[in-house]
Amino acid sequence: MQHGEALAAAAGDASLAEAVASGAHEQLEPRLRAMLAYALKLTRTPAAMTEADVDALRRQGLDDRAIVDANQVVAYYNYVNRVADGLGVELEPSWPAEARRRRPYAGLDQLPSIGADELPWLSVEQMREVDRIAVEEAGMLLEQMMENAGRSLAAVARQMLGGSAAGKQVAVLAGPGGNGGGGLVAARHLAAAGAAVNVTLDRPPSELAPVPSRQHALARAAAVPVAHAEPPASNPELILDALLGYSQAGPPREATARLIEWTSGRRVLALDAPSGLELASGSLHEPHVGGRRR
Amino acid sequence: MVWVRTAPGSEQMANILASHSLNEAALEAHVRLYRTIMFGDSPLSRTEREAIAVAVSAANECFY
Repeated sequence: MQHGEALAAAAGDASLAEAVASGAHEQLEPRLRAMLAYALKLTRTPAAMTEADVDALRRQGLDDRAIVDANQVVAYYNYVNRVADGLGVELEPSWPAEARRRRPYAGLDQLPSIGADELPWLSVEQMREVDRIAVEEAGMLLEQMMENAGRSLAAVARQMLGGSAAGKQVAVLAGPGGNGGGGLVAARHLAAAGAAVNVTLDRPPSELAPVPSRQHALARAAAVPVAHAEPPASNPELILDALLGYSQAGPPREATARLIEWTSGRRVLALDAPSGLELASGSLHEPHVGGRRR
Repeated sequence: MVWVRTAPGSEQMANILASHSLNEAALEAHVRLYRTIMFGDSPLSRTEREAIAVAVSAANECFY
């Protein structure tokens, strides 16, 4: 990140750039946090700005000149970003290849848009509580919940494959927890529906949690091939992302990251949150599961 | 490097500036704006200004 470097130099502290870029703003001092909140809102939802957004800066001690300057920096970088994206500007060859790689764009404008208020939603904390109540108070078995999730995922996958999975190539990427367990269930159901399914775990089967481990045994018993760590060599029509669930935190690492990178430009159906999207903070980490590359 | 032609002599510039060097007046105004906003006198510290830049570019998923 070009300006991550400039920020690290100005601050004498590389961790600040990481915190700012990743959206981990809660650890920053309130004045800077307020400026970044203003910057993000103005960048993401410019039409939603109100005078209250300026008042929030005043409460942190910014006078009108400081507010004008903050606004100018936000506006200037949006200008620079549009120049860069609109004219195809690449970073200089002196930057590492990883920094120069253009990110695959998820094509968010192709997705149906639903207003935040039109859809009931739960926070990550509330979702944990729902899971806890289902198991501890209602007495539902984790196996039942996983089976329901995986069977429903397989049903959606069949729809996406044109109504029938017969003869279709499907790859399932599965993590070690409940999310991965749901993926293993879906793999079993799709295999039963005639699909050529293979599962890739992000770690050895011995590291699966107990219930997903039993789902792994069931999938193996149903003759579903299960590999781990290395992305499959196949070119599937559909990938099921069951790597990371709603409680994921921080950037994906190691084999998980490699598997996510492998999905780039391919068709993906995510069980729960797409891997790489941290719901608690709204941070979209690198790498993350996106949509089809346009 | 960019999808459009660039002005002769722009090879030495940062790519972001070279990209619109065909409009020389806009390029000059851009450089002046950049220096004023990011390095000129301001109640905002250099760190605060660069932090805002990073937050905006990250929100735009742009490496610049």
